[in-house]
Amino acid sequence: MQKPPFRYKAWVALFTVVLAGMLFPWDVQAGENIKAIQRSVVRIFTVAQNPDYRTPWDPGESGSGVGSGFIIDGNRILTNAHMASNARFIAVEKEGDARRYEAKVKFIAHDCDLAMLEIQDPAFFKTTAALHLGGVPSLDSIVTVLGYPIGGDRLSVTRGVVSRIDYQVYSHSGVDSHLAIQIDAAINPGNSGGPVIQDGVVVGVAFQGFSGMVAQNVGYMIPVPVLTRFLQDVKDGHYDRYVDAGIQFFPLINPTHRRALGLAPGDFGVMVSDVMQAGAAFGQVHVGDVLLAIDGRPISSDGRVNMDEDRLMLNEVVERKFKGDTVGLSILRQGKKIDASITLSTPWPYLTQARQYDVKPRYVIYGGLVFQPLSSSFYGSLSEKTDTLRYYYSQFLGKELYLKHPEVVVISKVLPDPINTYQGRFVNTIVDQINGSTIKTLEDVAAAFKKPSDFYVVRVVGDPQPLVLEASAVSKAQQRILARYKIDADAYLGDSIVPAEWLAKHETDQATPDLTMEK
Amino acid sequence: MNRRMKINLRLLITVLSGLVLIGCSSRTMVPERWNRTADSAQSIVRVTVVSQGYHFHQPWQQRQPSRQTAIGAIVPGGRVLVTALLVANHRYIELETVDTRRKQRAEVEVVDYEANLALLKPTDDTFLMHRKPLALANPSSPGDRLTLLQIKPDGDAVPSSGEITSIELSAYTQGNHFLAYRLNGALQYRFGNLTIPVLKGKKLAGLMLRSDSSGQTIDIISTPVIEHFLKDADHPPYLGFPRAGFHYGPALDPQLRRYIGLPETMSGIYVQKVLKGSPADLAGLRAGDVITRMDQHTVSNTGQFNHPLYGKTSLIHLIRTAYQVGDTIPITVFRDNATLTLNAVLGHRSPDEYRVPPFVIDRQPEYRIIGGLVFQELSLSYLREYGNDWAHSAPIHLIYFNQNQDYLNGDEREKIIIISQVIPTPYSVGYESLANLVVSKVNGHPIGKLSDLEAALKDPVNGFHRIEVDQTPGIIFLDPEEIPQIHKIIESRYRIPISSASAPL
Repeated sequence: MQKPPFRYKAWVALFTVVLAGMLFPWDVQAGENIKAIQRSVVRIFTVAQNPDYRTPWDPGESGSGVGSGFIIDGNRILTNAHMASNARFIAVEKEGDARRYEAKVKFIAHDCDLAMLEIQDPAFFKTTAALHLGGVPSLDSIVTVLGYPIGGDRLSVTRGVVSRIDYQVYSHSGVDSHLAIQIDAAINPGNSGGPVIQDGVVVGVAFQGFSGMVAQNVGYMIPVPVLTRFLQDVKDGHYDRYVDAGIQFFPLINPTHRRALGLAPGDFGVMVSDVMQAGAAFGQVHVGDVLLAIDGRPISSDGRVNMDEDRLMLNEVVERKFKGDTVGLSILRQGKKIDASITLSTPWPYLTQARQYDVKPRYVIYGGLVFQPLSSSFYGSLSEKTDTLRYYYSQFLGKELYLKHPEVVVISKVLPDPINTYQGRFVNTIVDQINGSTIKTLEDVAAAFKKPSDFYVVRVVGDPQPLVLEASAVSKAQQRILARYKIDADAYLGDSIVPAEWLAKHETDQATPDLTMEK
Repeated sequence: MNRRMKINLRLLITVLSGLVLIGCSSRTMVPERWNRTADSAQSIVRVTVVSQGYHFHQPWQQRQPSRQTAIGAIVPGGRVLVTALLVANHRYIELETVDTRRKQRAEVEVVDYEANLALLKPTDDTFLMHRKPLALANPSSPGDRLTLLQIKPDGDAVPSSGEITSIELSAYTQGNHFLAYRLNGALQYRFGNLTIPVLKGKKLAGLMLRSDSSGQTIDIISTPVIEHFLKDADHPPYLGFPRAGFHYGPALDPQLRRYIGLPETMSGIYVQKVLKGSPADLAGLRAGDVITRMDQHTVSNTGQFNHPLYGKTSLIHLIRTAYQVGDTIPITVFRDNATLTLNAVLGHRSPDEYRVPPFVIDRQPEYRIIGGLVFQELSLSYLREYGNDWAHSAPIHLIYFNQNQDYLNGDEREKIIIISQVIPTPYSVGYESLANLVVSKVNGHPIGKLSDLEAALKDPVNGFHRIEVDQTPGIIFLDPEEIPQIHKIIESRYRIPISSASAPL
């Protein structure tokens, strides 16, 4: 029953797809002018170093990979975010040139798996040509995939048809869904980031597929609407992510439900079922409100709006917008009509559920106990997930657990030492308080241990036995433990997900009944 | 060593079964060795139980009846001792003598689903009249040899024996730990019998709890637990095994010990949580106390005491088995650098006193259908309906309540009421997919038990029942005037009674 929070990224794209399909009804011909196009396709060699959240102080294992990319106007190279994530070194090659050119990441969008690379050496672009972006190809039309997949070193070309135009979860972040186009041309490891061409223009970027064990001839490309949104977002020199209103709605199909809310029979209006406190609409929209229209477009009872001669989900209106844009809502509240204007933002708690890249794992070590925030990457690294961790991770948004613990701090590990030999039972527990203060972030943990005190009494969630750390004992042991396990720093506190403004604004929040100790 | 024992056992079994056959034809020729088996045939009965439980996700629906057999031990008072799980949700119980094959219906006299023990009584008192009840053995200690007594379908006895390797706590049923004998060796035959009596010499030492063929161990319900049960059963009303009502942890960590000022010479356990209204609470025990002595026993840092027979033994055994409900146990605690002694009058915590009851057995799970919404109490039985992997496959927001029920400070609900599902009717269009919603309020009234619904439903808001739930959609509405029609449809089309209880809504 638990639904992901209100994020309907993909509908923007669907709209664009339909529109483009009408505007450019291409005649599809067999065969592309490969000679011309191959000047725009590049082979990307990357070395990535992925942190191991089980040993967050270590730099992580590095590994190399090969993928594809293509050149668009302005000497920009587009590829997948997953080709450039956690990259330490990127080299680009092109056909007919023996040299490898070092590239740097200019923009990276982990929520739609796109990245833009730049190459300092102008010599690289001497013989290249820029590709142009097309539209959304129609079903059953032929597309050509170019890239550098496994099976050899030189450019590979495969062909297929457009099989399906639908929304897919983009597996790079694991939580975002957008429009994606399924094609039956072979897409193999190494195709990632390569262009999908129709009539000489780009209609998509190959990015994910199923392994042959699961399904045959199912590959996906990121369609042009998602590409264009990315290019538009970075125009100001910064990628801001998709934005959201932070509300969930419930379709108003039930006739009794409609009457109880004062709605006439018919097929318009949806009920707001959840308003995220960290979301844009909080305070302006309430649970039980009926949404009648969005940006002037009437909302039908299944949550769709008429747009571009189609019925699209109402979130589509939001999906097309950028950070700071507003959306207008017509609301029926207790029989009264109200208009609200919501300034859109990215609800930050949602980022804890997305896989993280290009960040270092946060941690604090004290007395051999390792404290780490409950992020997607950390959660994924756990071999055993306790019920309490499962609850805090899965209900973090739905139960708004972030109100009390914006960052859920877990005692992830005990680095064995005589002083912590009896503390193993606290592994995988969540820190609620230290010396009576609620722990909201990992910074709070670090700060609590810096405050002079003879003892630090750590209260964990759901187990009211205190974990006691004696300052004098720890101070003797700390360096010895760090040296024994060859750890350079006892903490890394950068790369926080929780915005500072949020913490400043919610300093005095009190939470609802929970598993804390009795007062 | 192991190998030799196996051969011996097999030999013994062969010899014995051979002798039983001879014994049938000529009783007078029975050699000395045979007597024991003949005696035991006089002391045990075959028990057949047909049981039928409910489907907790469709509480109006009964499961297919299932039949189980067991070997019961005849105990004084013309009664038969079996494991409780054998008779859970029974519809029909039949006893059969092993030698004369006479049959007689029986009823449950006392059952304890925590200690997993039940006493059966034949409906005809004369049925066990000339049988030889088994006296209870003295408590065993490690090294003692015990014999598991099985009966083949044809009536032959199949004894297999093993040595007690350890005596320690074991789960008798979910969440209920009592002292168990652990025997080495794998069980040779089982014939599908759920209860198997375990003898020491000619006396009853226990009943088999479970056998683990891969680890080659057999756990046995121990004599002291049976003794406690029989003693309680002989003095009605049956009160059950006591609890003190607190959670504890070890007081091992020197840093914790220094923080609370516990002298190094003192050992004990750290009290984590005292349940409100429990014997420990009434005695004045508080979270943060360290229990250093219980009764006359010194408590170790891990919660054990030295038992004269079993060696280091958990306090849980002391509290739950050494005492009866109503007994007073002196508890010495270290608090604020001083020791004091508290007297706890032990009580029993019945399943109904749990926020999420650990089991619902021998009765239909309660439910109310209101306008197609199925209201139920959350119980462990409901969660277990998700299959063997329920701990992972049941919804985590429901597991949470079960897991943390003693720790939900500030949540005053007696029970967790859920809308388990919606029965589709033309009136429930749009609600069909709702399931496992935790109900917080109905018409503004907080809902802390199923019976709270009744009063709440008398008080509609603006002509509608307003039901608030913790999950999407947050609010559900029902029209009081439509409810009778909806119920008519459910009763006629689905043939589902709208309520498990007789109380009309």
